[in-house]
Amino acid sequence: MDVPATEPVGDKGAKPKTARNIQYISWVALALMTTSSVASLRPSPTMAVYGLASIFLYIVPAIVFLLPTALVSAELASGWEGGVYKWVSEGINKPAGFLAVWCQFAMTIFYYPSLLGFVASTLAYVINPDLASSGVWTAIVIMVCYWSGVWVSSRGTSGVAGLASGGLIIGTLIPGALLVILGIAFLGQGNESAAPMTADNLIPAWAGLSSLVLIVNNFLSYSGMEMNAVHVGSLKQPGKEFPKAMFLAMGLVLLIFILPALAISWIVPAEQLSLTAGVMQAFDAVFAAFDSQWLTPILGVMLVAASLGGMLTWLAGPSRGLLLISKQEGYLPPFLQKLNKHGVQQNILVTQGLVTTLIALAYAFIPDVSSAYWIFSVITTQVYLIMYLLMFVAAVRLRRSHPDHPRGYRAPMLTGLCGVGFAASLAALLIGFVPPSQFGSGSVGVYLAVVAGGALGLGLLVPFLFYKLRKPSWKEASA
Amino acid sequence: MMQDSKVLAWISGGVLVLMAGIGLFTYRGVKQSVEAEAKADQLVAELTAAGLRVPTTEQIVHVLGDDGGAVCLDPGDALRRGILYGQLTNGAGGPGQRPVIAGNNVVKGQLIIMKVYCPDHLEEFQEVVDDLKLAEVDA
Repeated sequence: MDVPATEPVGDKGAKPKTARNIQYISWVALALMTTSSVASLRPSPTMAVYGLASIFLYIVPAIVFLLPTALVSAELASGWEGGVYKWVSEGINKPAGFLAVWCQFAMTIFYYPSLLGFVASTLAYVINPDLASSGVWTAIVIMVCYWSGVWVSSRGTSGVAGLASGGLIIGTLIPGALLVILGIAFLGQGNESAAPMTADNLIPAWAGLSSLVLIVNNFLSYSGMEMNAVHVGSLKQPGKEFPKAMFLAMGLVLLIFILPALAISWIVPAEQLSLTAGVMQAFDAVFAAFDSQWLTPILGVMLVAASLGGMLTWLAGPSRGLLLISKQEGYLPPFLQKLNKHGVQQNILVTQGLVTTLIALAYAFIPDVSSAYWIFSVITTQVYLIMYLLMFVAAVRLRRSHPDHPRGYRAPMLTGLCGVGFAASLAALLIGFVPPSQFGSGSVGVYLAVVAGGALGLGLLVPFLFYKLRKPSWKEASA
Repeated sequence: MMQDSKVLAWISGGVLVLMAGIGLFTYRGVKQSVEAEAKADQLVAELTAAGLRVPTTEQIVHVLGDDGGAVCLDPGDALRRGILYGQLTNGAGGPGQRPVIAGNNVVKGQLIIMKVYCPDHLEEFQEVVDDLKLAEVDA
C-alpha cells in the first residue's frame, strides 16, 4: 500500500520542511474507508422495526441525497485535491471554504460519545452484562478506545485505511452476510416472517409530522460520503480511482443498510427488540432461533471492531481538511497546525480528544445528560448540513467558472443533481427544528432557541471568530 | 511505514481475538429452567393480549431466561438511558445519527417484558418512557 512520494496531500503550493513519504492507498481501500465511515450494522435493529418499509426509508434518501452527494463529490475530488475546503474555496471563496470544513469537523464532536457508549455496552454484553452498569468500566472503555484511535490516526493514513477496511470486512460485511443467510434460512425452513412482507408494507404507515421527520432525517444516514475525499491525493490516479471508489462505496452502503435490517425483521418481532438492552439483544434473538447463541459474543466483538474502524476514518478525515486550509490561510493558531513526524495533525486530534472525552464521560455517567446530548447532536448535524449546502453551490459555480478544468469524472446533469441535493439538505436542516422523542414534554420554543442558537454559534460564530482573529504570521507557521 | 501498518493490524487482530476468546469463555447463555418456561408462557400470553406479534416460546427462553437478561439490568442507569435514546434515532450508522419522533410500539414490548420479568424496575422505566414524546408511527 505504501510507495515513496514527495508532497503532502493537497498542499501543492506549499513547501514542506522536509520531503516525506506519501502513503498511497488503493481505490478499493478508499471505498472501504468511505463505507466504514458511513455504514454499519448498528442501526439494523432500529430499522428492522419498520420491516419491509425499511427499504423505502433507505432508498428515498439514497435517490435525493446519497446519489447527488456521491456523484458531485466524485466530480469535485477528481478535479481538485484537498476535499471540501478546496472545492468551496475555489467555487465560492476562501472564508466559505473554511466555514465548510469547520462544519464538517464540528459535526464529529457529538458522534464519538454515542459510538463509544455503544462500544462500552456491547463489550459489557459480551464479557459480563453487569459491567454495563459499572462507571469505571464505561470510563475505561471510552478512554482506551478513543485515545487508542488518536494514537493510530497519528501514525498516518495507510494504518487508518488498513484498520478501517479490516474493521468493515470483519465487523460489518461478514456479520451482515451471516444475518442475511440466517434470515433466508429462517424463511426457507417454512417459518412465517415476523414482519409482514406484502406490497402493502412497502411504504411506512403515514403518521403525519413524525413520519416526515423520520423520512427526512434518514437523508443524514448517508452523510459523510464526501468526507474521505480529503485523502484523494493518497490515490495513485485520483481522477479515475476516486469515482470508482465512490460507486463501490455507494453499493456497499445500500446493501449494508437494507439487507441486515430486513433479515432481523424476518426473525424478531419488532416489539421484542428491547431498547435498553441495545442492539446485541436483537442479534442474540436472531441466533436463538438457530440454537447458536455462542456466536453472540463473537459478533459483539466484531461489531466493536467495525465501530472503531469507522471512528478512525472520522478522526483522520475532517481534522486533516481543517489543517490544510488553516496552514494555507492562517485560520488556526500555530499550536493547532503542528504536525508530528508522520505529517499528521496530532495537536488538533489531542485537543478534540480532550473535549470528546469530557462529553463521552458525562454522557455515560449523568442520566440527565442523555436527552441534552441528543439535542446537541441535532445542532452538530444542522451545522454539517451547512457544509452540504455550500458544497452543492460550489459545484455548480465550478462547472460554470472552470468548465475546462481537467476532471477525471464529470457527473451527469450536475446542476440538477446539485438542485436535488441542495433541496434535500435544506429539508433536513428545517426538519431538525422539530423536537424529537428525547425532548419529551419540554417547550417547543426552548428547543427551537437551543437548536437555532447552537447551530448559529457553533456553525457561524466560532469559525467567524477564528477568521477574525487570524494572524498573517499563522500562515504556514509550522510547515 | 508499511511495517508500522502491519504491526498495527497484528496488534488489533490479537486484541480482537483475545476479546472474542474472553467472550466465548465467559459466555454462559441463559438458564433453561421450569421458571424460564413459565415466564416465557406468561410473556406470550401478555403479548397476545396486547395484540402484539409473538416469537416462539423457545426463542424467548433462550434470550430472556428466567430473569429477563439484559432488559432487566438497571434500565434507568445513565448509559442504558443513553442507549435507549440512541435507538430512538434515524437509520444512520455514522455521525448522521439524529433523534426522531419514535412510535409507541417501540417501547410497548419492552414494558411488557419488564412487567413479566422484573416488575421492580417497571416503575422506574415507565417514568423514563413517560418523559418521551412518542407517536403512532409504526402502527
